[in-house]
Amino acid sequence: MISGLICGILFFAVRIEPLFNFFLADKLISGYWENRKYGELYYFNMISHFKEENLPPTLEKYRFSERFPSIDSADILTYGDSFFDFSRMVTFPERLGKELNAKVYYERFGLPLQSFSEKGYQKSSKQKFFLYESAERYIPSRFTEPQPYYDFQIKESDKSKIYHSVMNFIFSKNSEALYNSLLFQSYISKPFYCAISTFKFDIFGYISNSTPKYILNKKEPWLFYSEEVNDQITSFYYPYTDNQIEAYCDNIMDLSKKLEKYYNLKMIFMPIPGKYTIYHTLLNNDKYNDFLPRLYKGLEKRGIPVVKLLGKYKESKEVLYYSTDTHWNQKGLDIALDETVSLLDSIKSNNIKIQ
Amino acid sequence: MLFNSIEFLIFFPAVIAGYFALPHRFRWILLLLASYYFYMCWNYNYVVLIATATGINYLSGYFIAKSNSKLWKKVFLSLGVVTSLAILFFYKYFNFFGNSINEVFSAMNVMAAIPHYNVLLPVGISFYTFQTLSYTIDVYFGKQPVEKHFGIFALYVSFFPQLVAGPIERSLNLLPQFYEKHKFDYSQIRDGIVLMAWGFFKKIVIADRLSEYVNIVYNNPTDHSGMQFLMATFFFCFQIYCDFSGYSDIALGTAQIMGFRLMTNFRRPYFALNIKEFWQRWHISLSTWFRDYVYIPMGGNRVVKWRWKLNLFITFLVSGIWHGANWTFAIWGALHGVYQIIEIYTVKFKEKYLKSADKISNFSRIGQILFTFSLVAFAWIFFRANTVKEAFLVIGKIFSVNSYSGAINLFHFKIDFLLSIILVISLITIEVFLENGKLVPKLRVLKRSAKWVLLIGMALIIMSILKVYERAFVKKNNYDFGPYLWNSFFCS
Repeated sequence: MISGLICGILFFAVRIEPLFNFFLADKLISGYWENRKYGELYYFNMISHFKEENLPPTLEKYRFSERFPSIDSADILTYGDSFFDFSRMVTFPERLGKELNAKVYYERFGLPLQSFSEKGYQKSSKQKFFLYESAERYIPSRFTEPQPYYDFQIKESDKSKIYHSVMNFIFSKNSEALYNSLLFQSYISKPFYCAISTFKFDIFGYISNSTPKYILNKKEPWLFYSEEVNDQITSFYYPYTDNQIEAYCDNIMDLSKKLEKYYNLKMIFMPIPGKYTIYHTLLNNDKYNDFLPRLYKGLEKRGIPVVKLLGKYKESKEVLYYSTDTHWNQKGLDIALDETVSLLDSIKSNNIKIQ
Repeated sequence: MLFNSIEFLIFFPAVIAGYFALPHRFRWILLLLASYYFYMCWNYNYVVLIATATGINYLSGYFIAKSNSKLWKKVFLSLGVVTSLAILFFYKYFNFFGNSINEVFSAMNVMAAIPHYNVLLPVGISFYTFQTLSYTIDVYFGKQPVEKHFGIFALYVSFFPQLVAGPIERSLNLLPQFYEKHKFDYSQIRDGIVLMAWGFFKKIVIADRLSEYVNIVYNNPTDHSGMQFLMATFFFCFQIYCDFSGYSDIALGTAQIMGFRLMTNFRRPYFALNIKEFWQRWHISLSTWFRDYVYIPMGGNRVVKWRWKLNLFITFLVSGIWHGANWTFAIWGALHGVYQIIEIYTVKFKEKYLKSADKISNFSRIGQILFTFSLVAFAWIFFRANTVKEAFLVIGKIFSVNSYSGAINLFHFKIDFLLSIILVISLITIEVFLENGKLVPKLRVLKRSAKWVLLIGMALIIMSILKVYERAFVKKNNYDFGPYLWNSFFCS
C-alpha cells in the first residue's frame, strides 16, 4: 500500500511542475523540463570535481519570452537554439534589440517556415532582417533536406488542443527522463549518486559517455559534450565530404530564398562554433574537419550573409565559453553581438531597401 | 511502456497495490484500465486498433456461438479472421510487400506504383492479433466457450504483462483466471519477484551488454572481419535468447505476483539435441500457435510425405515473416523449415548410430547440442543482418580464413569483452544446473534471509551495471543501444 502510494505521488510529480521541483535538490526552471540542467554538463556525470561553483545561475529574469514583441510588430526576427535562449545572462536577442533600438523577436525553433505557418505570420511590405542562429553541431540535421514552405496555415482547433494537452498529461512523453532526474537529482538520491559517480571516477576513471572529454583542473575543470567529440555527423571529427557541405549550403540558400519570396525577409546566417572546435587544443592537437570554414565559403559563394565567429573566437585571448557548460559566456556573446551589428550595418549601407 | 523503464517500476507497484486493495469484482476494471494505460503510453492514438481488434473478435465469437447454421458460423469466423489479419497486414506488411513488388517491376523496367504509407508499426499488434485469432477459431471449433463479458474479453486481449511481447496466451488458459479470486500470497509474490529479477538480469545485464558488440559489427558489415562476425554471431545467440526469454520471465513474474499463471515460453533452447526439439523449447507459445492454427489445419504430418514436408516448410516460412517484415526473416524461417525437413531424412541414420536421446553418452549428447547450436547460430545471421545482401556478406567473411583478426579491439576497454564472455559462461553454467534440475531444489532449501540476500545482490548487480557501469562507460563510438531487441522484431 505504501509503495503504491509513493508510486502514485511520483506519477503526479513528473506531471506537475511545482511538485516535481519540490523533490529536486537543484530546481529546474519553469517551462524547461529537461532531464539535465540547462546546458550544464556537470549534470550529465554528477562527478563533484566538475561542479563549477562560479557558473552563473539560470534565472527566470533572463527569460526574454516574457518581454517579447509580437512577431508581427518586430523589426528583426531571430530563430535559433539555446545560444539565443535565456541561459545565464541577458539574451542575445534582447541585447541586439537594445543595441539597435529595435524590436527583436526570438523563437527557439529550427524550422521558421513551419513556425510562420503555425502563427499565421504574413508577408510584410517592408523587408526585415531574419537572423538564423544555429550551433555548429545542429547545422547538418537542420539542413540535410530543404525546409518545406507551408502554403496553408497549420492551426490546431481549441478542442484538439484540449484533447492533446489532457492526453499529454496522462501519457507524458517526457516522463521517463523526468523519473530519471528524480533518480539522480532528488534530495534523497543526489548525494548518493554524486558520491558513487565521484568514487567511480576517482578509482576507475569512469565518466559519463555524454561528457567523455574533460580537463580536471581544480580551479577550472572543463567538460566537452559527446555530440561534439564522437565520430558522428555532429562532431569535430566527422569527415564531411565536399558534397555534403555543398548540400547544406544549398539548403540554407533554399531557406533564404523562401524567406525572401514568401515573407520578404533577408536572412543572415549565424553558426555558433562548437566549444570543442575552439578549445580542443586544451586537450590535443587533433585535426579539425574544417566544417565551418568550408560552410562560410559555400555560403559566401551563394551570397548569404554570415556572421563569422570562428576566426574571432580563435583569436580572442579571453575564455569565451563556460568551462562546464556547452554555451558561450558573456564575452562570447559580446563578440557575437559586435559581429552581428557590424554585419547588419554593412548590409544596410549596401542595400537601402532594408530599414 | 517498456518493462525495463523507470516508468514501469512506478506503474507496477501502483497497480499491485490497487489490485490487492480492491474487492475481487472490481479488479478486472483496474487491470483493464492499467493494460490500456500501459499500451497507450506508447502512442495513445493507436488504442483504436486494439479496441477494434477486441470488438470485432468479441462480436465474431458471440455470433459464432449464437448461430445455429454452419454457414453463418463460417461467415462470422471469416469476418473475425480476415479483419484481424487485414489490420495486421496493413500496418506491418503493406509497405514491405509494396516496396518488394515495386522493386521487382522496376528491375523489369516496368513502373508499378504501389504507394508507401508512413504508418507507425503498432506495438504488440502481432501478439494481440494472434491471441484474438486463437480465441475466435477456438470458439468456432467448440474448444472454447464464448466469453460474454466484454470487459473480461478486452482484458484477455490487452492484459499488460503479456501484451507487447507475449507469451501468446490461449483463451482456455487465461480467460478463466480472470474469474478466479487471487489472494495476497507471500510465496507467490516472492517467486514472481525472483522470476522478474532473473528476467531483468538476462535482459539488462547480459543482452544489453552483448548487443553493444553485436550492433557495432552488424551495423557496419563492410568494416569488420570474419573473426569479429563469428564473435558477434556467437554473442547474438545469447543476446537474442536473453532478450526474449528475459522479457518472457518478466512477463511471467509480473503476472505471477498478481496470481496469474502464464505459459512457459522458453525452456533452455540451446540444450536442444535437434532443431525439432529446439522449437519445443524456443518461443513455445508461438511455435504451438503455429502448430495448432497453421500446421495442423494444413494437414500436419497426416498427409502424403511431400505434402507433410511442404506443410513444415510453409509453417516455418510464415513464422519467419511473422517475426518481421523483411526478407531476412523469411529466409531465417525458411532455413529452419529446411533444417527440419533434412532432419526427417536423417532420422533413421541418427537412430542407428546415435540411439535414442536418453541413452546416448554425454559426449555424443554434447556433440548434438553443439551441432544444433551451430545450425541455429547460422540461421541467426539472417535474423540479425539488416539486409539479405549483408547476411551473405557476413557468411562470406565468417568462412573466409584470411580475415580472422581483431575480435577484441572493438571494445574501448578490454574488460568489457572479458565481462561479456564471463556473462555468457555464467549464463550457460546456470542453465546447465537448471537443465539438470539441481539448482532450484538447492535454492529452495536456502533460508529465507539467504534468498533475499541473493535477490538483493542480483538487483545490486543490475543497478551497478546499468546505472553505474554503463553510464560511466566511455564509448569510442556513439552507437545506439536500443531498448529491447524484442521490440524491434516482436513488439509489433
